[in-house]
Parts: sequence; structure tokens; C-alpha cells
Amino acid sequence: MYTTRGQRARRSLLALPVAAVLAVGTACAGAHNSSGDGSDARNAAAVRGLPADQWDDLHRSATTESPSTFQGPTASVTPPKNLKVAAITCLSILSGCVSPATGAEQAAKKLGWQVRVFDGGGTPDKQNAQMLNALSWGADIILNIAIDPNAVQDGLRAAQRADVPVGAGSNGLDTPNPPVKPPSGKLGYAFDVAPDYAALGQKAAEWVRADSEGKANIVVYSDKEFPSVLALQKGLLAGLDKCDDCTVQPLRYFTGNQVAQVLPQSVVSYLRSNPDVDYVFIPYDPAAAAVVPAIAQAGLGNKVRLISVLGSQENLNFVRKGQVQVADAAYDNLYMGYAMLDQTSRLLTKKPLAQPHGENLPYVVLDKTNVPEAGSDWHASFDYPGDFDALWK
Amino acid sequence: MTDKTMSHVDAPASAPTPRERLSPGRVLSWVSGYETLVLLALLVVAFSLASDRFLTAANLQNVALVQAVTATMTLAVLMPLIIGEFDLSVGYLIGFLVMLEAVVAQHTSNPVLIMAAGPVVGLLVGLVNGLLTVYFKISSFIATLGVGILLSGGTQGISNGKVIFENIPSSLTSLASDDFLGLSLAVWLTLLLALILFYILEHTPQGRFWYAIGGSERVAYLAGVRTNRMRMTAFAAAGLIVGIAANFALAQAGSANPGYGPELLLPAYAAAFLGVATYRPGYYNVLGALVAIILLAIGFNGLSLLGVPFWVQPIFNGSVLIIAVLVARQETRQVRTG
Repeated sequence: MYTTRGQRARRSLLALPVAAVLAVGTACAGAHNSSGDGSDARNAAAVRGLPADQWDDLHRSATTESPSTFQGPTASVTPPKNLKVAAITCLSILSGCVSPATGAEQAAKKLGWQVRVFDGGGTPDKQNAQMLNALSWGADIILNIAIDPNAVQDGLRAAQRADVPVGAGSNGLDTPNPPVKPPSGKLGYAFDVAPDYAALGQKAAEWVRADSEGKANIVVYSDKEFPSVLALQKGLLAGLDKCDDCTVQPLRYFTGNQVAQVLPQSVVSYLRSNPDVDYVFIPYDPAAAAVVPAIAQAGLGNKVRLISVLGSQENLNFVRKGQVQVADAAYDNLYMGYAMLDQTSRLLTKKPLAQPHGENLPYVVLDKTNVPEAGSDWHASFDYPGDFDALWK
Repeated sequence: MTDKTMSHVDAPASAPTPRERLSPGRVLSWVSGYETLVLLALLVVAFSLASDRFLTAANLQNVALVQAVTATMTLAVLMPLIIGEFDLSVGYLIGFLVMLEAVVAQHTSNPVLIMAAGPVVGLLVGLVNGLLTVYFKISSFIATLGVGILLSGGTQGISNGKVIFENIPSSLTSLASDDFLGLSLAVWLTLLLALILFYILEHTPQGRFWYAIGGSERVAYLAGVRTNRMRMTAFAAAGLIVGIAANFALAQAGSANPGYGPELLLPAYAAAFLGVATYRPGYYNVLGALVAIILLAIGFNGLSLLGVPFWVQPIFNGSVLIIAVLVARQETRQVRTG
């Protein structure tokens, strides 16, 4: 086959960047491996374990809700009348995004308020647009569910101009989590109702320790985009650090837009090249939902046990069937809806917000022993709707 | 490549038969080229009747406020579309450029450098897309997809997977926060950009050459158009415009997220495709694209105010796109057959 000089030159031109990328990639891989060995040694936690008869207690502790009784606000509040509340979900096809809005709708019926749910569409552009739509609708307050305030500065500025407060849920930016103040010149939320993510991470670690009887070899995946994930990761690693014979592999990171394609392949490749790893932690359910089928299809379903966070119904179904994912660190999203409206009442009546701002939202680790029935979200066992109702006089 | 341009010019004239007079296309002929405007007017009336919040200055202002990025991205994808090519890198490219500007902002407080980074690098990426497509003869579909995927890796790399929100200068965010006559500066700049592109496309040889290449590259070449160079400039212009959109995006959000960008690709193409139903039916054009953006934005806003379930909006957008393009195709056929 003949090639012209021009064709050869073009091929050479194309080959250059490819070669450069491969060279850089190889160099990076070498650097990563060498530093990875060091991290391995640093992260391989070998601390004291528990006597064999105490694994059941540890498992019971992880799978028991915290708190087990209503620990929300104690000071009553007189809610304002006829409020219009706009609840903007991060993405309305995700049950974890919608459930708090459902809780808010349920609570609003008792208060005689109107709640309108807007679909944030999963992108900052849509979320900003929906905040503006909420203002046009005449909302008295906007509640953003799992929406990063840094991504919706446009909407926050418009709300500030219209003198409409913006609260939030599920971001992990506010107490009991370490409060994250907006950087100078940026706007944030009046409150953010969320569980204690670090404590939830500790609970997940307890479950892993109990399930593996202190011998887990775990890889923890994380996503730096979300403060809630970072808080949870801190608690998880602190909890795993108490495990004598557990091995914690170096952290592996991904981003939200890699969930569908890159993450599943990456996890499977990692598990193939690290056959001793028997536990995988994925920081949120939609990502786990993408990883579970990939692990199963790769024939690794019987070798690894996956744990994730949120309590989405799809993932609870995996747990129910024992299909790769065997546990889910969940929190009560319906409670979150009630708590967001409670904080709204306090904010708009100029009363101090309930402390902590997360209002002690209940959480638990769900596995086959306590997973709710198919089609149901997990809810705390106590009658918190009644407790909130009693507060709203 | 299609022969739209040439067939438009050479179309023979003939009187319509009685059957043709009753065809749906003929029935619609009295609004020929302006169906989307009619639909827009109908939507405005319907939403105004259904919600007393719709037809207010504040609401219309809100509708315009967030369209700057989508509109600019639509203008970007118009350029390759006009020459009969696709640029699938634009979604990844804006994500990369927003992140690049945020990273630059961590190292300098000079707003000019920060705001120039996006357009300059966008232009270079556009040239690379053009080079791969025009000189290396790789299908633009594949070449730009490859460049886009490569850029997504670059975005992850320079951000280290983190959201960057520190040190974004207020002179940049003021593009979104400062307003003039009720609209943000970003919206005015988008309109200015649209005006410039409209002028270039409709009233300069450059624009006519691009349309000629889109109609038939071979004929354009034989007519003396330097087709390779012109195709390169179309890709470069797309990259440059995405760089401008990156400034608006960073100004609006005030932060750069490593996951941002890819979701903007399809809305931009949807608006560009929908635009062929307006002003110059069958042709990608600036005015049509702007009407399409307003139509989709009004639909999104009105349906949100009515509180329809979340799954209704994609159905609305998809239906409008399909119907409008079918109407445009019908009109194009009529032009061809007379």
C-alpha cells in the first residue's frame, strides 16, 4: 500500500500527541503506584478488634436508628399563615431528591401552606432557572434539596433581590456538620437540614467491621464535589481506623459526571487488579446503582460486598436481593421535609433556628435484617409527624 | 452534504394543483417561516390565561436571565452546522473552559487574563477540531467527540475533581449580577453576539461562503471558495463562542464544577434544529435559533409556573422540536418544488 509524503506527515503529526499522552500517562502511573504503596502502608489500619461475641452487638448498633426517639426541637413555634413554599429538587427522577419535598408537602398540609415542587433537572442551569421560576410563582421561601449553593449563585442573587429567603436540605453545610460559610462575595443558605454525616459514616464503618468480623479489606470511593460526602468519608475512615485487622485501600475519587460510564468500569478494573478487596464503599446510591450491575456482570458479585448511602429504593432492592450491595446507610428524608418546614417557621417568624440545624435527623444502616418492604423508603420508627405537629401551635 | 442552497436558487416555479392547495403545508403557508413565532404567541396567551404570574415584567426578566449560556452555546453549534458538520465537543469544552478560568483565577486576580483564557483556549480547541476534520479527514462526529472526551479528562485533571469557587473576581460575576434596563450584562452581550453573527452570516461573503459549503462543498469549491480554510474558521468560531459562553457560565454560577458542561450539548443542538423552522426555513440561522431559545424557555417557565409534573417538560420540548422540524422540512420541499 502506497502512502504519499503528505499522508505520512499527517500520520506522524497524529502520532506525536498520542505518544506524548502515553508517555505522560506512563510517568503518572509510575508516580501513582509508588506513592500508592506508601498510602497503602499509611492507610492499612491495624488497630484493636473486638471479642468475637461482640460482633453481634456492633451489628445491632449499626442497624439501630439514631436517635431512636424524637430529638428534634423542643421550643414550640407559631407558624405563619398561608405561606407559599417552593421545593427545588436536585433531580426529580432520584427518590433521594424527591422524598424531602414529599415530606415538606405532607407537613405543609397540617400548616395550611402551599408547597410547589420544581424539578432542578440535575444541572446548575436548570436549578438556577427553577429558582427564578419559583420567585415568579411568588414563593415566600425557596428550599433547595441537595443543591450546591456555589452552583446557583444566580438564583440566590435573584432571591436576595426579591427578599425571599432560601433554605436547604441534604447538603451537609450546616450543624451538626461542620458549618461551611460561603466565601466572600458569595451567597449561601439560611439553613441546611441534614443528618450528621460523620456519625452516619461512623455507623457505616461499624457495620463493615461487624459484617467482616473485623477483617474487611475495603476500598472507599469518594467525590470531592459534595461537602456531605467529605463529611461522611471522614466519619467512615475514623470508624474503620478502629478496626484491628481491616485493610483500608487508598481513597479513590470520581466525579458525578463519571457515574454512568467511567465509574463502573473503573471499579471493576480495580477489583480485578486487587482481588483481595472484599468490600466497596460508594458514597451515594445513584453511583452505586451504576456500579452494582457492572460488578455482577463481571462475575465478581460473590467476592465483594458493597455499601452505599442515601436509602434510594433501587438500592434497597439490591440489599433485599443480596445483589452485590448488601447495606445502605440511610436517613429519613421525610423527616427532613418536616424539619425544613419547622426551620422555615422559625426563620420567617424571626425566632432562633432550632439547634442543631439538622434537627437530629434520624439515620441508620439498612441491611437484609432491617430493610423496609419493597416500594417503601426507610422512616424512623417514632411518630415524628405528631411531635412536629405538637410544636407548631 | 445536501444541496439545499443550490436547489433553493434553482427551484423551478409551477402553479399548485388543487390537491396541493389543501395540503397541510399550503394551509400553513400564510404563516410560512414564522410557525414557531405563532406557537410562541399561542403559548404566551395560554400561559397568561392559566397563571396570573406569567405575564409580569419580573417573570419575563427571570426567563431572560438564565438564557445567556444556552443561547451562546446555540450560536456556537450553528457555525459547524451551517457548513454541514457537527461539533460534539462543545459541551465538554465549556466545562473545561469554565474550570480553566476558575483555575487561572486561583493564580491571578487580573480579570482580563481570566476572562481571556476561555475564548483564547476555545479558539485553539476549535482550530484543533477543524484540523482533524478538514486536513486529517476524520468525520467531525468522531473527531469532535474524541476531542470532547479528551477535554473531559483535562477538566478532571485541572480541577482534581473539586468544585472551585474561591477567588472568582467580582468583575466577572458582575456579568450576571449587574443589569441594564432590567437584563443582565450577559444577556445584552449575548444579544450583541447574535447581532454580529447575524450580520456576518447574512451580509458578508464569509457568511455566504459558509452557507454555500453547507449546501454543497464541491460546488462551493468549484465556484472558487477556499473551502478548507472556511471550514476551519467555522470550527474556530464555534470554539471562540464557547469561550465567551464559559465567561457567562462562570459569572452565573460563581463556581466551576468538574461535572459541568456535557448537559448543555443537547439543548444547544435542539435550539439550533428548532431554529430552522423560523426566518429562513430549512436553514440554520441566528434569528431562528433565538426564537427557538425563547420558545423553549417560555415553555419551561410556563409549565413550571403551572406546576406540571416533572416529566411533562421533556415531552413538551421533544414534541415542539419534532413538529417544528417537520413543518420546516415541508416548507423546504415546497420551496424546492415550487
